[in-house]
Amino acid sequence: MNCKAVQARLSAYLDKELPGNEHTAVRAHVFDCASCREEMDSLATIKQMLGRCAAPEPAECFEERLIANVMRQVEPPRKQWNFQFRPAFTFAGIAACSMVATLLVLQFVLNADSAPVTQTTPDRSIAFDIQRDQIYSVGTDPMGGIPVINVQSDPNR
Amino acid sequence: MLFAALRERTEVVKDRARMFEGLIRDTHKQAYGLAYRLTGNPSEAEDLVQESFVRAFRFFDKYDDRLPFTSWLYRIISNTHIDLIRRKGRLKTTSLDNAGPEGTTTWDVADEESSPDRELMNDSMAEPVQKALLSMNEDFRTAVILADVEGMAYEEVAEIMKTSVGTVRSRIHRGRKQLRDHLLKNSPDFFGRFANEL
Repeated sequence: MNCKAVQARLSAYLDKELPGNEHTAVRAHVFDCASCREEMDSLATIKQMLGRCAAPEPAECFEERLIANVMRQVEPPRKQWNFQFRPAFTFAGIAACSMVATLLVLQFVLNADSAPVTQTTPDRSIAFDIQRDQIYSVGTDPMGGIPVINVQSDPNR
Repeated sequence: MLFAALRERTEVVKDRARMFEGLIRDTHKQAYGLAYRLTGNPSEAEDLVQESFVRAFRFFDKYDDRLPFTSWLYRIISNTHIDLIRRKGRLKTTSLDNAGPEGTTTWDVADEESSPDRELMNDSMAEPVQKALLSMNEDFRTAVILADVEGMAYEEVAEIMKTSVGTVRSRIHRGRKQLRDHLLKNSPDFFGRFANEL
């Protein structure tokens, strides 16, 4: 292996990422060749330098801020009603409201016309039938639904 | 019955959110470390981490839980980083005419001297190294960071960057050479001091 081939493999050699036979060949060459050894040493210096650099620490408040920001972004967005004033929508709204109002009024009027009116005729004769000493009650017959008067003689007399 | 189903679904969603919150708490520091190295400043690193976790949550169904969550997250971070750069139109391109042998290229990088984050950068990572990293092409930088800073094997890096092991090998080699050349040119004292310490 010549110097050019060795120098192209020096980083992989330092990282122990070369196949066994190439690793041995590079090691043998570097042992004898001063310039390749120098090149290897300078690359080893860079590797060591990077490995020794302390990990930069984030600011103290970063953790909480990060969690809050990430969670806010990943939460499914809540549905929001975005009402925008538009003349067409307003017109449609007013038209719909007035139609509903008209329908309600019509229904009320029609129902009022068709509602059964209870006809009552005063019957004065009944006053003569019920004596003063009689107990009576007025109500609706639960079976037939018609107005009834229950008359009962006072049992004390 | 409908209400029961809705309630059950809401519970599932809440459980998922709770579980994901736990994952964020466990891994956000590592995520920030990688993001900081990729972007070079705290504010962009925070944005990158946030966007990556949002993506991770949305695509959580695709996560294979036989693998460590951080590997999957690192992949999302490096992809999101590329996306964010493209969106901002900041992806640096260079003509091949300007490229030196073996693809080495020198970049003009913004002077960080006036940045208020300089002190933080000094604490977290030697400034010349961070500057040198930022001077690199995105692909080379990502490969070098994943291999040398995060200590990943080439196969893992290839998996994350969706490329072949051969490409990763070449990117790491060229990336290290770019870093070395940048440091020798801009901070020879720093490089010499560090080499002597070893």
